[in-house]
Amino acid sequence: MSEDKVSGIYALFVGLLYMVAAVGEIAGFLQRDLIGGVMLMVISVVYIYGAKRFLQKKDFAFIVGGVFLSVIYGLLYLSIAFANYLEYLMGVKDFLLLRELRIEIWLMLVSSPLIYKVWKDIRKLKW
Amino acid sequence: MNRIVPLSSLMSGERGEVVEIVGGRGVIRRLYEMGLVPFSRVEVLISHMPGPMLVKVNGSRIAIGRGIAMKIMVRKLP
Amino acid sequence: MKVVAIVGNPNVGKTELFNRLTGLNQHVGNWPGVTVEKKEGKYSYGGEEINVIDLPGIYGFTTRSIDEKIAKNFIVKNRPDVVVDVIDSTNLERNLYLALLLIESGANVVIALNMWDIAKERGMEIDVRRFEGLLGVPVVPTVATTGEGIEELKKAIFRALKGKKKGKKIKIDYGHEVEEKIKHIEKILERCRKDGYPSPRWVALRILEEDEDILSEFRKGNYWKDIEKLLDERIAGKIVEKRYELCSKLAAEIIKEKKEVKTLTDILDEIFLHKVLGIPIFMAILYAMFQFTFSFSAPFSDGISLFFSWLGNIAKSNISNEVLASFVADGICAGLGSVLVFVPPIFCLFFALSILEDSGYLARVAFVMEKILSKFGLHGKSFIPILVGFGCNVPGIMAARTIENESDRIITIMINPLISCSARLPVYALIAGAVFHGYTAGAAIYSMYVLGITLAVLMALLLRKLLFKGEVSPFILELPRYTKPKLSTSIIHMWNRGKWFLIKAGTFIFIVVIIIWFLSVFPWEATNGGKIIENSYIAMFGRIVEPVFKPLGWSWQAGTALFFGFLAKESIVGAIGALLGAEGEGVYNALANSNWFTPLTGFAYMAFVLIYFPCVATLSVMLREMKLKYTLLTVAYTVLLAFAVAFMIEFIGHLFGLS
Repeated sequence: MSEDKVSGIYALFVGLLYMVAAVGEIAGFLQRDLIGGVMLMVISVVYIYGAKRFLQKKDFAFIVGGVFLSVIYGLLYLSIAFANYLEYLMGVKDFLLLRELRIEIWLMLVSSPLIYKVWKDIRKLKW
Repeated sequence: MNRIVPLSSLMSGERGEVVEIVGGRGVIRRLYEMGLVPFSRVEVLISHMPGPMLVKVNGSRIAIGRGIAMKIMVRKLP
Repeated sequence: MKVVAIVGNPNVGKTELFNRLTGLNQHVGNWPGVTVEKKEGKYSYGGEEINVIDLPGIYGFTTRSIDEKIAKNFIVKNRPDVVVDVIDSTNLERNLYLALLLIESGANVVIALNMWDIAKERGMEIDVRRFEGLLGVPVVPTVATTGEGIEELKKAIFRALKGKKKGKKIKIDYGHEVEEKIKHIEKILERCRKDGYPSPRWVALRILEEDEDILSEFRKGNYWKDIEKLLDERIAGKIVEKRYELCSKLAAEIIKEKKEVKTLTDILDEIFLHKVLGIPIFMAILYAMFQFTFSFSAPFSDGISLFFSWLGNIAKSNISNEVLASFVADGICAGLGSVLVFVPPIFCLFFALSILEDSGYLARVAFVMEKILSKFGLHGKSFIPILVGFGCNVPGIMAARTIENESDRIITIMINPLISCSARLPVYALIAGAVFHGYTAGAAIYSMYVLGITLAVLMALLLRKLLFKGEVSPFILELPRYTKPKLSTSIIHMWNRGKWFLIKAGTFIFIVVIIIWFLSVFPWEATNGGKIIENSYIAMFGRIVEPVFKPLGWSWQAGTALFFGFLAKESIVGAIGALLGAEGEGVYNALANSNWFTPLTGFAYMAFVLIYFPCVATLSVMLREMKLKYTLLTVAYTVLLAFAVAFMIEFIGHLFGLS
C-alpha cells in the first residue's frame, strides 16, 4: 500500500474514533459535556470528509483542517488541565489527573502521525 | 462571443474582466480602491449561492456581498 | 521633535513594523472624537528623537470611512516630516495606488517594501533600485515579523528627515481631457487661495474626484458654480483608472519574475470558507475560544478572589475600628475583588481574539456569517461581539471595534447588553431553582438565553428601521493572507486592549464599589455594621421605589436586590441572600419558603434581570465606545423593555390562568 493510501485510511480511522468519542460524550458516558460532544462530531466529520477527498482526489485540505482542530482542542484542554493544577497547588480544588486528561487530549495523541505528516507537507508551502 | 454578465453569475474558478460597475458612488469608490476598476481581471475563488463571493484581483482576495457582485459587470474570459 | 507617520493598506504588517520601530515604547489612545485607535510611539536615531504615529489602514482617500478621513487629514493637514508607506511586496499593484496618492499629496514619502521574505519565497524578484528610480522616493525592503531591514528603514527615514532627495518624484499624466480640467480648476484656485493644502494641482484632483471634505469647503464660496460645472462622475472614474493603469505599468517594470503557486492561504480558505463545513468549523474554533476564556481563566479568577478575601480577613482582624475594618474588608477588598475577577477572562479573551485576528481568520468569520446576519440588519462582523457577549458584555462590546461602519458598530454595541452574559446565570439558577422544579427549572434558564438573543435580533431590526435608516453597509472586505500568529504581537495586542479594564477597575468602578458599600452598611448602628441590610440606606431606597415593582407583584426586597445588580448582575444573588438572612445553599430553601415569588412572577423577574440595565462595567465600556446619547438610549430602552417584557410575561401568564 502506498504511503498516501495509508494516510487516507488512517485519517478515516481517526475520524471514526472522534465519532465514537462524540457519541459517548453526547450520550453522557464520558465527561457529560454535550456541546463538547458536538464539537468532537465536527472534528470527526472534517476528518472523514478529508479522508474521502484525499483518497478520491488527492486533495488533502480537509485533513489539514482536521489536524488543525485536533491540535487546537488538544492544546486547549492541556492548558486548562495545567491551570487547574495551579489551582490545586493553591489548595482550592482537588486534582484528578485522569479527569483532567480529557478525551480531546488522547485523540490529539492518536492523530499525531497525521499531525506530523501535515506539518511536513505544509512546511513546503508558502503562506 | 464574450458576453457581458454580472460578476455574481460567475462560478468558482471562472475569470472575467471588469467592464463597469453600476451602483452607488460610495460602493464604486470602495471597489475602485480595492483594485476592482474597469479592465482589471478577476478570478472567482469561491461562490456559494446565495452567500458572498471571494474573488482574486491583482493577487489580493476580496470578499464581496452577493448584492454588490450583481452590480459588477464583467466580460467572461475563457 | 520630528513626526513620522506610518500608513499603508490594511493587513500589510503596518502594526508589526510600528512595533519594530518603537518597541514597547508606545501608547494607544483614541483619535479625538472617534473610537479609532491611535497608536503613538518613540525612538531615537542619530541623536534625533522621532515620534511615530501609526495611522489606520486605508486603501485610498476617497471613501468616507473614519479611518480614511483620519489618515488623510493627518497627512495633509498635520504634514508629518516623513510618511512611511508600508507596502505588501506580494501585492505591489494595489499597494502602489496608495503610494501614488501619497506622493501626489506632496508628502515626504519613504516606502517600506514589507513582507519581502514572502515575496522571495514565492519566487518574486523585485528591482528595488528601479523602483526608487521610477517613483523618485527611497524604497527599503523590510520583514517586520523578523526585524530584517528595520535598521535600513530607520536610516532612510533619517536621511529623508534631513532632506536628502532621491531623484525626481513621479508625476502622473492623466491624459488630455483630465489635464485640461485640472488646469481650469487651478486657474479658479488662483483667485481664491486655499491655504493648508499641498498644491493647487492636488486640490484640483481632489475636487474632480469629488472628495466631500474638500468640496464642502468650496460649496459656500463664490466659485462653487464654476467648480460644480466641471464635476463629472466619468472624469472621477477616469482619474482612478489612470492611476491603476500606471500602477500596472510600474509593477510590470519593477517585478522581474512572478510565479503562480498554490499557497497555504488557498488551502486554508478551502477549509474555512467551505460551503457546508465553514460554519461548523467556525463554531468549533469559537467553542475552543470560549473554553479558553472561561475555563482556562477560572483558576486565575479564583486565585484573585481568594487573595482579596484573604486580604479582607487580615484587614478585619487587624483593624480595631469597626467601620474602618468594614470599609477595607467589605468595601475595598470585596468590591475590588468582585471586579478584578473579570481580569483573567478578559485578558484571555483578548489574547484568543488577537490570535484569531492576527492569523487572518477573523475576516473569514465575517465571510461565513454574512448571509445569515444581513437578514437581521447586522453586518458580517457583528457576530463575534454577540458571541463574546455570552461570556461577558464588556469584551463583547470592545470586540465590536473591528466593525468599520459607524452605524453597524453602534447597533452591534447597543444590542449587546441583551445577550445573556455569564454573570446572570447564578441569578437565573437561584430563582428558577427556588420556584420551579426539575426539568422546568432547566427549561426556564435556557429560555432566558433564547429570549436574550431573540430580543437582540429584534432590537437590531428595530434600530435599523428607526435610527440608522438604510441598508447594512455593503459587504466588501479584503481577506488577508493567513500568517502564523506571533506570541509577542498577540500579547502586545492583548495588553493594549485589556489594560483599559484595569484602569477603569482602579478608578471609576472602585468609586461605585465604595458608594454601594456605604449605602448598604449605613446607618451603622441600625444595620449593625451591615448585618441587617433591611435598615440600610439602600433598603430605604428600596422602599421608596417599591411602588414601581408592586404592579409586577415583587416584594420590596426583590426590587431592592435589583439595584445591587447595577454593579454586577451576580451581586443580586448575594443581595437576595442578605435580605433573606441566609447564606450559601440556604438561600435556595429560604427563597423557596418565602413568598417573594410565584413561578410566574419569578419567571418575569428572571426576564427582568436579563434585560433591565447594563451593569456598571458594561455601561462604562459603552460610554467609551460610543457617544453619550447612544449609551443613554441603551439604558432607556433596556429599562423600558425590561418592564414591558416582565408585564407581558405576567399578562400572558394570567391569560393562561397562572398566578
